[in-house]
Amino acid sequence: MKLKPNRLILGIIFLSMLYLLCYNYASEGYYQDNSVINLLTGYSENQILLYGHVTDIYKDGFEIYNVRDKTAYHVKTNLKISLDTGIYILGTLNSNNEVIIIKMMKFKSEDVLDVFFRSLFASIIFLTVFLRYWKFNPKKILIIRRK
Amino acid sequence: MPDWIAHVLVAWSLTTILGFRFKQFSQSNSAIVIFGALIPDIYKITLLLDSFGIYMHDFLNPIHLPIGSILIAAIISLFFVNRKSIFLFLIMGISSHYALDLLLFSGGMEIFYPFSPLKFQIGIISVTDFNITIVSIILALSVYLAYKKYNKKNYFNLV
Repeated sequence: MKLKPNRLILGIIFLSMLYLLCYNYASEGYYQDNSVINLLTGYSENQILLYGHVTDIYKDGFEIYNVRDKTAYHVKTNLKISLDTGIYILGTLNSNNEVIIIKMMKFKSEDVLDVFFRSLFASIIFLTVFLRYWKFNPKKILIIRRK
Repeated sequence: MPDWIAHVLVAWSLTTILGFRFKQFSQSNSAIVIFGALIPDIYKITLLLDSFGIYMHDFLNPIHLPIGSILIAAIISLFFVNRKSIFLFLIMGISSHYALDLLLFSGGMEIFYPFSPLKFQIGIISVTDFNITIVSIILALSVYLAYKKYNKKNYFNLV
């Protein structure tokens, strides 16, 4: 296995630039999940936006594990939600991590699956075309053109 | 975003049409352009991470911005011998990806980030619209038939 030093140096430089770009983007708070734009309307400081799956069901509501801050919240509601349902919740936070719902939206998991399967099909097309003309040489760590 | 079928077929059609006139756009290089067209959607790995309870959307979103995609293309091109030409073919694929994504109505993209935070999008197609996929299939079929016809007559050396 042989890797030319200039490729390695360039690779480290590009990876570092990519990391800095991503870090800067995340720290500046630019990201806005387009699927929760409607929920975010009217989002103020005393409100909380939760994003995750239902992990437990109670008589007065359910528990959601918020993936953003890796914390479980007790959501008080009369709505019947089944276990493992993915949801976005805009709510007000009370003591003991209790949340009162203002707005709630379920994940459209069927859309995600649809995109996944179509992308899988396209991946097969891409790999078929790509591997017809190119191959990986593990000794040189290079992708070379087939003759 | 249009699905990968649309991105793959539009990139292939584009390079095959250019291949009628320019011999640099061979089928092997069109595979690189298709590769480039899928680079911005490496960001979709966040969907997989979501299922493991790892939220990385805000950190990895720049991959789906031109500057991030260009850096990924630069990294990928290091694995090829002719890295400059491969980089340019990857950029061409990336451009076709953003050209399609700009047609959508999905909240906009910060295409000039980090120079400008302004979001742009033409907004004529919804994210779930299948029409763009159907149009890309018709386009690819037409190009394929033309490609076959010209190849048969040996007018152009496309491969």
